[in-house]
Amino acid sequence: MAKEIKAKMLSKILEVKVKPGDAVKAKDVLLVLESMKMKIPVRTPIDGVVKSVEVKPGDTVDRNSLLAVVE
Amino acid sequence: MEELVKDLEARKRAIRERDGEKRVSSQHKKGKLTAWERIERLLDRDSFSEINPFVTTRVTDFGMDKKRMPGDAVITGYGRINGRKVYLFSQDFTTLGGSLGEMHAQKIARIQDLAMANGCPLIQMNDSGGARIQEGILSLNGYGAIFKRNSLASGVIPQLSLILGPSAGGAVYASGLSDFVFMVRGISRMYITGPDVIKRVAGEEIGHEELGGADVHAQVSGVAHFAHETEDECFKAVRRLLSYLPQNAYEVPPYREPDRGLASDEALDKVIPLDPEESYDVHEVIEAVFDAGSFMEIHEEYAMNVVVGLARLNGHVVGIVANQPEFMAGVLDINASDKIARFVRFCDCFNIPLVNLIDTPGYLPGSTQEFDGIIRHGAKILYAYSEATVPKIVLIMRKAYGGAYIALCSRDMAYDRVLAYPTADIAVMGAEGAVAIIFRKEIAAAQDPEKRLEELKRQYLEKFGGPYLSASYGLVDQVIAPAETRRELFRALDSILEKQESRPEKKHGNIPL
Repeated sequence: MAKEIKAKMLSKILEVKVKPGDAVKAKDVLLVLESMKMKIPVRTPIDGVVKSVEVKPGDTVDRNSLLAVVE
Repeated sequence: MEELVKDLEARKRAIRERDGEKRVSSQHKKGKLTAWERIERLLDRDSFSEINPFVTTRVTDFGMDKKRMPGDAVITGYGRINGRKVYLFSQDFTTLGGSLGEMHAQKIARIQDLAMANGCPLIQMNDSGGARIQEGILSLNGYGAIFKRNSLASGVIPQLSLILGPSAGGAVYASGLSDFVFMVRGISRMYITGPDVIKRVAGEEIGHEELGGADVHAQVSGVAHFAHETEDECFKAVRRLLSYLPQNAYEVPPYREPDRGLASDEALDKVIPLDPEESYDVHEVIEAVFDAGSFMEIHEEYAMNVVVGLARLNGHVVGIVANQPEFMAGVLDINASDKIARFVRFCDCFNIPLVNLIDTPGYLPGSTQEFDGIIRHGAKILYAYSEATVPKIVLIMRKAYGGAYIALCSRDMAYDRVLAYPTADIAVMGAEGAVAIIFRKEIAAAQDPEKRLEELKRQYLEKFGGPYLSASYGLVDQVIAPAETRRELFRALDSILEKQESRPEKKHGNIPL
């Protein structure tokens, strides 16, 4: 089952650690965001394969923006 | 006698079956359960006793005499949840749209009085079109009678509101005055004025769900504490919530034998990052420290920069207030202040000790916050904790700066026991900001201001960083290793569980609202 990973708040993409096709385990860090001068690791809640990454470093995202899909 | 009992049974059956297939299916078609189904699914099996089923409207205007229905569109009574008594009402949308008339209101008021007099939680299941227009001002006055009782019962018995259909206009305030509001996606809607009126008056077009659905109130307005997918899920949450609460303000919350010991947990040593700019999910700390699976989060999707909820610590119910570094760095803002203050006051009302897990850079700076009144909203946190007489424990995990230190950690303001991790950073502000102010001239005059700033920052941190300076003032009672958190928090709680504290006698305080 595909899991959509979304941003929880307005933030900037600092780092993207995975690319489509990568195998990931639950709790692995997919990307790192920055908000309020804080680095925020975004983790996958499930084991699976990265289906898509929707953002690149430097992008600004808002609450509920799609970041990546893992399935 | 036999005849009379037969007649009674027939009357009762008529009431019970008044819904008929057509009415039941009209409710089911909307994706809703009927008023009776709700009662049966919420309560322990066969525990419900109805009160006042024969009551009906006295108004005869506008053909009301022909629409008259026993029960007057609301079922009231008492039953049990997990074996403990509750009083409740369940509005019947299939009768006159669940509208509230004079007698409907009287039935509810009666249940409220009984819940209060007997010290039992009150559960309000709302599914109503609002005031019964045919009954005019009698209907409005009925709301008044209900709201007064909601207000008087506040802090005496827990009051839970389930929004299981429309709840519009004045009717919303029975829920607004409750301790907890539960909503269900797709069927609940709650607003003072609906989309039609808004369109007429303001020209704004907005749908029911967008204006007053579960997500709006759980995420944006903060009116709802819980949002669920289905009614059954909602009932489950109600039953779970009640398992943490005392029946009334004169009892203590139910103790439950813990299923884990107090052994240390080395994994906790790795949760808090040493880099102050790195975040983590505070849920990880909560899950590792409190009794397994016992954390029930409240306002999960609202003001997520702070996490609040009920849990058990070695069997004892506690209220947790934890900054969430992962969301807006865990700052305090207006919504977080309201969320914390409301929760703290609830816990104090019902004898639930408080545990603060602290990692916050302070109050959120900005003109929006100032214009919207962060001063009066932020003051609610100070007021709520100062007023609270339940045991209050603080664990400073990392940042505790400025106003947030005062509000959430200050010994002399409110706290019985202050613990800290070695990673605690307790100060008026972060090192960089502090040094920039204290040494402004010196830095400006330096050959390499940036280098000087770094040097001074390091010196400042060496002297003032960490928990030990505060500990030397006695403002931190003990510094603990993260792995020992569960045991240390429990011992702190255990040592003050029976604390008695009094407050000046007064009519009531004047919390800044």
